[in-house]
Amino acid sequence: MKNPAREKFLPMLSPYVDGELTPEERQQVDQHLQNNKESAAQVADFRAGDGLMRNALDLQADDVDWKKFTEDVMARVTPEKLPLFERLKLTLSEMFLYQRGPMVAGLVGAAAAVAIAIPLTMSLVGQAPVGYGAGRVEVQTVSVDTEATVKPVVFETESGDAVIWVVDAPEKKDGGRKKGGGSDEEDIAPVPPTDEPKQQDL
Amino acid sequence: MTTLLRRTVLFAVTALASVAFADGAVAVQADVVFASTAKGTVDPSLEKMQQTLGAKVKYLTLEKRSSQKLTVDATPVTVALPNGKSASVSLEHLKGGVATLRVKLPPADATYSLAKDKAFYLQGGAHEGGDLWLVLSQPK
Repeated sequence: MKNPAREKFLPMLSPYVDGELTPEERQQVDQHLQNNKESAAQVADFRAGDGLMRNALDLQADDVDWKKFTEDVMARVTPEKLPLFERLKLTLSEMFLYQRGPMVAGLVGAAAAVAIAIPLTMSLVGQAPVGYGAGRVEVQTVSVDTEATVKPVVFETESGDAVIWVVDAPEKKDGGRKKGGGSDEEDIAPVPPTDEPKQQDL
Repeated sequence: MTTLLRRTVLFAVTALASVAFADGAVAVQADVVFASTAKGTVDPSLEKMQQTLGAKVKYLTLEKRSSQKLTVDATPVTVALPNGKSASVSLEHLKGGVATLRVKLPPADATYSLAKDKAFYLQGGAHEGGDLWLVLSQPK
Protein backbone atom coordinates (compact mmCIF):
# COMPACT_ATOMS: atom_id res chain seq x y z
CA MET A 1 0.00 0.00 0.00
CA LYS A 2 1.39 3.29 -1.01
CA ASN A 3 1.95 6.03 1.52
CA PRO A 4 1.51 9.45 -0.19
CA ALA A 5 3.48 11.25 2.47
CA ARG A 6 6.43 8.87 2.08
CA GLU A 7 6.22 9.22 -1.67
CA LYS A 8 6.47 12.98 -1.22
CA PHE A 9 9.39 12.94 1.20
CA LEU A 10 11.35 10.02 -0.25
CA PRO A 11 13.42 12.22 -2.68
CA MET A 12 14.27 14.55 0.20
CA LEU A 13 15.74 11.92 2.53
CA SER A 14 19.16 11.71 0.98
CA PRO A 15 19.59 15.55 0.79
CA TYR A 16 18.35 15.63 4.40
CA VAL A 17 21.18 13.36 5.49
CA ASP A 18 23.69 15.38 3.48
CA GLY A 19 22.47 18.67 5.00
CA GLU A 20 21.37 20.12 1.71
CA LEU A 21 17.79 21.12 2.65
CA THR A 22 16.49 24.52 3.64
CA PRO A 23 15.51 24.98 7.31
CA GLU A 24 11.79 24.81 6.39
CA GLU A 25 12.23 21.61 4.36
CA ARG A 26 14.37 20.12 7.09
CA GLN A 27 11.64 20.87 9.66
CA GLN A 28 9.05 19.25 7.42
CA VAL A 29 11.22 16.12 7.00
CA ASP A 30 11.80 15.97 10.76
CA GLN A 31 8.03 15.90 11.33
CA HIS A 32 7.64 13.28 8.65
CA LEU A 33 10.32 11.07 10.19
CA GLN A 34 8.58 11.22 13.57
CA ASN A 35 5.41 9.87 11.98
CA ASN A 36 6.91 7.41 9.50
CA LYS A 37 9.17 4.67 10.83
CA GLU A 38 9.98 3.37 7.37
CA SER A 39 11.46 6.71 6.31
CA ALA A 40 13.23 7.04 9.64
CA ALA A 41 14.82 3.61 9.10
CA GLN A 42 15.91 4.58 5.66
CA VAL A 43 17.53 7.76 7.00
CA ALA A 44 19.31 5.65 9.57
CA ASP A 45 20.57 3.39 6.81
CA PHE A 46 21.85 6.41 4.86
CA ARG A 47 23.76 7.69 7.86
CA ALA A 48 25.25 4.28 8.56
CA GLY A 49 26.37 4.02 4.95
CA ASP A 50 28.01 7.43 5.11
CA GLY A 51 29.88 6.45 8.25
CA LEU A 52 31.15 3.25 6.69
CA MET A 53 32.29 5.03 3.57
CA ARG A 54 34.11 7.74 5.58
CA ASN A 55 35.92 5.12 7.65
CA ALA A 56 36.93 3.27 4.53
CA LEU A 57 38.35 6.41 2.94
CA ASP A 58 40.23 7.31 6.11
CA LEU A 59 41.78 3.87 6.18
CA GLN A 60 42.88 4.19 2.55
CA ALA A 61 44.35 7.63 3.20
CA ASP A 62 46.34 6.29 6.13
CA ASP A 63 47.94 3.72 3.88
CA VAL A 64 49.39 6.39 1.58
CA ASP A 65 52.83 7.91 2.41
CA TRP A 66 52.31 11.71 2.37
CA LYS A 67 55.84 12.60 3.45
CA LYS A 68 57.10 13.43 0.00
CA PHE A 69 53.83 14.75 -1.32
CA THR A 70 54.79 18.45 -1.02
CA GLU A 71 58.27 17.91 -2.44
CA ASP A 72 56.93 15.95 -5.36
CA VAL A 73 54.33 18.59 -6.16
CA MET A 74 56.84 21.47 -5.89
CA ALA A 75 59.35 19.57 -7.99
CA ARG A 76 56.77 19.39 -10.73
CA VAL A 77 55.64 23.04 -10.58
CA THR A 78 59.11 24.71 -9.93
CA PRO A 79 61.28 25.02 -13.04
CA GLU A 80 64.94 24.08 -12.92
CA LYS A 81 67.15 26.80 -11.40
CA LEU A 82 69.19 28.61 -14.03
CA PRO A 83 72.91 29.41 -13.66
CA LEU A 84 73.78 32.79 -12.15
CA PHE A 85 74.87 34.39 -15.41
CA GLU A 86 71.71 33.25 -17.15
CA ARG A 87 69.57 34.60 -14.33
CA LEU A 88 71.33 37.99 -14.46
CA LYS A 89 70.97 38.12 -18.20
CA LEU A 90 67.30 37.27 -17.95
CA THR A 91 66.73 39.88 -15.22
CA LEU A 92 68.47 42.63 -17.18
CA SER A 93 66.65 41.79 -20.38
CA GLU A 94 63.32 41.90 -18.55
CA MET A 95 64.21 45.20 -16.87
CA PHE A 96 65.17 46.79 -20.17
CA LEU A 97 62.06 45.38 -21.78
CA TYR A 98 59.52 46.44 -19.19
CA GLN A 99 61.27 49.34 -17.36
CA ARG A 100 63.38 50.91 -20.07
CA GLY A 101 62.80 54.56 -19.06
CA PRO A 102 63.79 54.29 -15.42
CA MET A 103 66.73 52.02 -16.31
CA VAL A 104 68.13 54.48 -18.87
CA ALA A 105 67.60 57.39 -16.49
CA GLY A 106 69.36 55.49 -13.71
CA LEU A 107 72.34 54.66 -15.92
CA VAL A 108 72.61 58.29 -17.09
CA GLY A 109 72.48 59.47 -13.47
CA ALA A 110 75.14 56.99 -12.42
CA ALA A 111 77.40 58.06 -15.30
CA ALA A 112 76.94 61.73 -14.40
CA ALA A 113 77.71 61.01 -10.75
CA VAL A 114 80.91 59.17 -11.69
CA ALA A 115 81.94 61.92 -14.11
CA ILE A 116 81.54 64.51 -11.35
CA ALA A 117 82.85 62.46 -8.45
CA ILE A 118 86.15 61.44 -10.05
CA PRO A 119 87.46 64.96 -10.79
CA LEU A 120 86.23 66.19 -7.42
CA THR A 121 87.94 63.35 -5.61
CA MET A 122 91.14 63.87 -7.57
CA SER A 123 91.13 67.56 -6.74
CA LEU A 124 90.49 66.96 -3.05
CA VAL A 125 93.01 64.20 -2.43
CA GLY A 126 96.55 65.38 -1.91
CA GLN A 127 96.19 68.68 -3.65
CA ALA A 128 95.91 72.28 -2.53
CA PRO A 129 92.45 73.75 -1.97
CA VAL A 130 90.93 75.88 -4.70
CA GLY A 131 93.00 79.00 -5.24
CA TYR A 132 96.06 77.87 -3.31
CA GLY A 133 98.00 76.45 -6.23
CA ALA A 134 101.04 78.69 -5.81
CA GLY A 135 104.08 77.77 -3.77
CA ARG A 136 104.54 81.19 -2.19
CA VAL A 137 102.50 84.31 -1.58
CA GLU A 138 103.27 87.02 -4.08
CA VAL A 139 102.24 90.63 -3.58
CA GLN A 140 101.25 91.95 -6.99
CA THR A 141 100.16 95.52 -6.29
CA VAL A 142 100.17 97.71 -3.24
CA SER A 143 99.23 101.33 -2.76
CA VAL A 144 98.00 103.74 -0.13
CA ASP A 145 95.51 106.60 -0.24
CA THR A 146 96.85 109.67 -2.01
CA GLU A 147 96.40 111.91 1.01
CA ALA A 148 97.95 109.41 3.40
CA THR A 149 101.25 110.24 5.09
CA VAL A 150 102.33 106.64 5.17
CA LYS A 151 103.85 104.28 2.69
CA PRO A 152 103.70 100.52 2.35
CA VAL A 153 106.71 98.34 2.89
CA VAL A 154 106.48 94.87 1.44
CA PHE A 155 108.67 91.94 2.09
CA GLU A 156 108.30 88.34 1.15
CA THR A 157 109.97 85.81 3.37
CA GLU A 158 112.06 82.85 2.28
CA SER A 159 109.38 80.54 3.64
CA GLY A 160 106.86 81.98 1.17
CA ASP A 161 104.85 84.35 3.36
CA ALA A 162 104.35 88.05 2.58
CA VAL A 163 104.16 91.01 4.93
CA ILE A 164 103.01 94.55 4.25
CA TRP A 165 104.00 97.14 6.81
CA VAL A 166 102.53 100.61 6.75
CA VAL A 167 105.16 103.06 7.94
CA ASP A 168 105.21 106.81 8.37
CA ALA A 169 106.38 108.82 5.37
CA PRO A 170 105.91 112.54 6.19
CA GLU A 171 107.47 113.60 2.91
CA LYS A 172 105.07 111.45 0.88
CA LYS A 173 102.58 113.36 -1.23
CA ASP A 174 101.02 110.74 -3.49
CA GLY A 175 99.94 107.18 -2.96
CA GLY A 176 101.90 104.10 -3.76
CA ARG A 177 101.54 102.25 -7.00
CA LYS A 178 102.02 98.87 -8.49
CA LYS A 179 104.92 96.92 -7.23
CA GLY A 180 107.83 97.21 -9.62
CA GLY A 181 106.07 99.71 -11.84
CA GLY A 182 106.08 103.51 -12.23
CA SER A 183 108.95 105.93 -12.11
CA ASP A 184 108.84 107.18 -8.51
CA GLU A 185 110.63 104.21 -7.08
CA GLU A 186 111.33 106.02 -3.82
CA ASP A 187 107.62 105.81 -2.99
CA ILE A 188 107.45 102.14 -3.69
CA ALA A 189 108.46 99.82 -0.94
CA PRO A 190 111.21 97.41 -1.89
CA VAL A 191 110.52 93.72 -1.84
CA PRO A 192 113.61 91.97 -0.57
CA PRO A 193 113.76 88.29 -1.40
CA THR A 194 114.74 87.29 2.10
CA ASP A 195 113.40 87.80 5.60
CA GLU A 196 115.80 90.67 6.14
CA PRO A 197 114.06 94.00 5.55
CA LYS A 198 115.91 97.04 4.39
CA GLN A 199 116.51 99.18 7.41
CA GLN A 200 115.76 102.45 5.65
CA ASP A 201 112.19 101.31 5.10
CA LEU A 202 111.36 101.45 8.78
CA MET B 1 59.22 62.50 -17.03
CA THR B 2 59.64 59.88 -14.36
CA THR B 3 60.49 60.69 -10.80
CA LEU B 4 63.86 58.98 -11.17
CA LEU B 5 64.73 61.07 -14.21
CA ARG B 6 63.71 64.27 -12.43
CA ARG B 7 65.90 63.35 -9.47
CA THR B 8 68.80 62.58 -11.77
CA VAL B 9 68.53 65.95 -13.50
CA LEU B 10 68.23 67.73 -10.14
CA PHE B 11 71.30 65.91 -8.83
CA ALA B 12 73.33 66.80 -11.91
CA VAL B 13 72.31 70.46 -11.73
CA THR B 14 73.19 70.63 -8.03
CA ALA B 15 76.55 68.97 -8.56
CA LEU B 16 77.44 71.21 -11.49
CA ALA B 17 76.37 74.28 -9.52
CA SER B 18 78.67 73.31 -6.67
CA VAL B 19 81.55 72.86 -9.11
CA ALA B 20 80.80 76.22 -10.70
CA PHE B 21 80.71 77.84 -7.25
CA ALA B 22 84.03 76.24 -6.37
CA ASP B 23 85.62 77.89 -9.40
CA GLY B 24 84.30 81.30 -8.42
CA ALA B 25 85.13 81.46 -4.73
CA VAL B 26 87.94 80.60 -2.38
CA ALA B 27 88.01 79.91 1.32
CA VAL B 28 90.24 82.17 3.37
CA GLN B 29 91.06 82.18 7.06
CA ALA B 30 91.01 85.75 8.32
CA ASP B 31 92.53 86.45 11.74
CA VAL B 32 92.87 89.82 13.42
CA VAL B 33 95.88 89.83 15.71
CA PHE B 34 96.91 92.36 18.31
CA ALA B 35 100.69 92.69 18.50
CA SER B 36 102.72 94.62 21.01
CA THR B 37 106.35 94.94 21.92
CA ALA B 38 105.33 95.04 25.56
CA LYS B 39 106.01 91.88 27.43
CA GLY B 40 102.99 89.60 27.42
CA THR B 41 101.79 86.29 26.11
CA VAL B 42 102.11 84.90 22.63
CA ASP B 43 99.30 82.73 21.39
CA PRO B 44 100.93 79.36 20.55
CA SER B 45 99.27 79.39 17.14
CA LEU B 46 100.98 82.74 16.42
CA GLU B 47 104.56 81.68 17.07
CA LYS B 48 105.19 81.43 13.35
CA MET B 49 103.89 84.98 12.94
CA GLN B 50 106.18 86.16 15.71
CA GLN B 51 109.10 84.55 13.93
CA THR B 52 108.11 86.01 10.56
CA LEU B 53 107.64 89.56 11.83
CA GLY B 54 110.64 89.23 14.13
CA ALA B 55 112.92 90.27 11.30
CA LYS B 56 111.60 93.81 11.71
CA VAL B 57 109.91 94.04 15.09
CA LYS B 58 110.28 91.83 18.09
CA TYR B 59 106.69 91.46 19.21
CA LEU B 60 106.41 90.02 22.70
CA THR B 61 102.64 89.96 22.79
CA LEU B 62 100.49 88.37 20.11
CA GLU B 63 96.81 87.79 20.73
CA LYS B 64 94.06 86.77 18.34
CA ARG B 65 91.22 89.26 18.54
CA SER B 66 89.01 87.59 15.96
CA SER B 67 89.15 84.60 13.69
CA GLN B 68 86.79 83.73 10.91
CA LYS B 69 86.67 81.63 7.80
CA LEU B 70 85.63 83.64 4.76
CA THR B 71 84.24 82.52 1.46
CA VAL B 72 85.65 85.11 -0.87
CA ASP B 73 84.35 85.84 -4.34
CA ALA B 74 84.11 88.98 -6.43
CA THR B 75 81.83 90.60 -3.87
CA PRO B 76 83.94 92.15 -1.09
CA VAL B 77 83.75 90.55 2.33
CA THR B 78 84.28 92.84 5.31
CA VAL B 79 86.43 92.08 8.33
CA ALA B 80 86.09 94.48 11.24
CA LEU B 81 89.08 95.46 13.35
CA PRO B 82 88.81 96.56 16.98
CA ASN B 83 90.35 99.97 16.19
CA GLY B 84 87.32 100.92 14.14
CA LYS B 85 88.85 100.15 10.78
CA SER B 86 87.47 97.47 8.50
CA ALA B 87 89.10 95.48 5.78
CA SER B 88 87.40 94.33 2.63
CA VAL B 89 88.57 91.19 0.87
CA SER B 90 87.49 90.22 -2.63
CA LEU B 91 88.57 87.82 -5.35
CA GLU B 92 90.25 89.52 -8.29
CA HIS B 93 90.61 86.41 -10.39
CA LEU B 94 91.31 82.72 -10.24
CA LYS B 95 93.67 81.45 -12.91
CA GLY B 96 95.51 78.17 -13.13
CA GLY B 97 94.46 77.20 -9.65
CA VAL B 98 95.94 80.37 -8.15
CA ALA B 99 93.61 82.96 -6.70
CA THR B 100 94.45 86.62 -6.53
CA LEU B 101 92.78 88.56 -3.73
CA ARG B 102 92.38 92.29 -3.30
CA VAL B 103 92.59 93.53 0.26
CA LYS B 104 91.64 97.08 1.19
CA LEU B 105 92.55 98.13 4.68
CA PRO B 106 92.78 101.93 4.67
CA PRO B 107 95.05 103.46 3.84
CA ALA B 108 96.55 100.39 2.16
CA ASP B 109 95.19 98.64 -0.89
CA ALA B 110 96.95 95.48 -2.07
CA THR B 111 96.51 92.53 -4.34
CA TYR B 112 98.30 89.26 -3.75
CA SER B 113 98.17 85.62 -4.82
CA LEU B 114 97.32 82.84 -2.41
CA ALA B 115 99.73 80.01 -1.71
CA LYS B 116 99.34 76.68 -0.02
CA ASP B 117 100.03 76.82 3.73
CA LYS B 118 101.37 80.37 3.43
CA ALA B 119 100.14 83.54 5.09
CA PHE B 120 99.69 87.17 4.12
CA TYR B 121 100.18 89.78 6.85
CA LEU B 122 98.84 93.32 6.52
CA GLN B 123 99.39 95.90 9.19
CA GLY B 124 96.05 97.36 10.25
CA GLY B 125 97.03 100.38 12.31
CA ALA B 126 97.68 101.20 15.93
CA HIS B 127 95.58 99.93 18.78
CA GLU B 128 95.97 100.02 22.56
CA GLY B 129 99.67 100.84 22.40
CA GLY B 130 100.40 98.14 19.87
CA ASP B 131 99.56 97.18 16.30
CA LEU B 132 96.72 95.29 14.72
CA TRP B 133 97.45 92.83 11.94
CA LEU B 134 95.17 91.23 9.46
CA VAL B 135 96.43 87.73 8.75
CA LEU B 136 94.98 85.91 5.74
CA SER B 137 95.87 82.26 5.27
CA GLN B 138 94.62 78.91 4.09
CA PRO B 139 91.92 77.52 6.36
CA LYS B 140 92.99 74.48 8.36
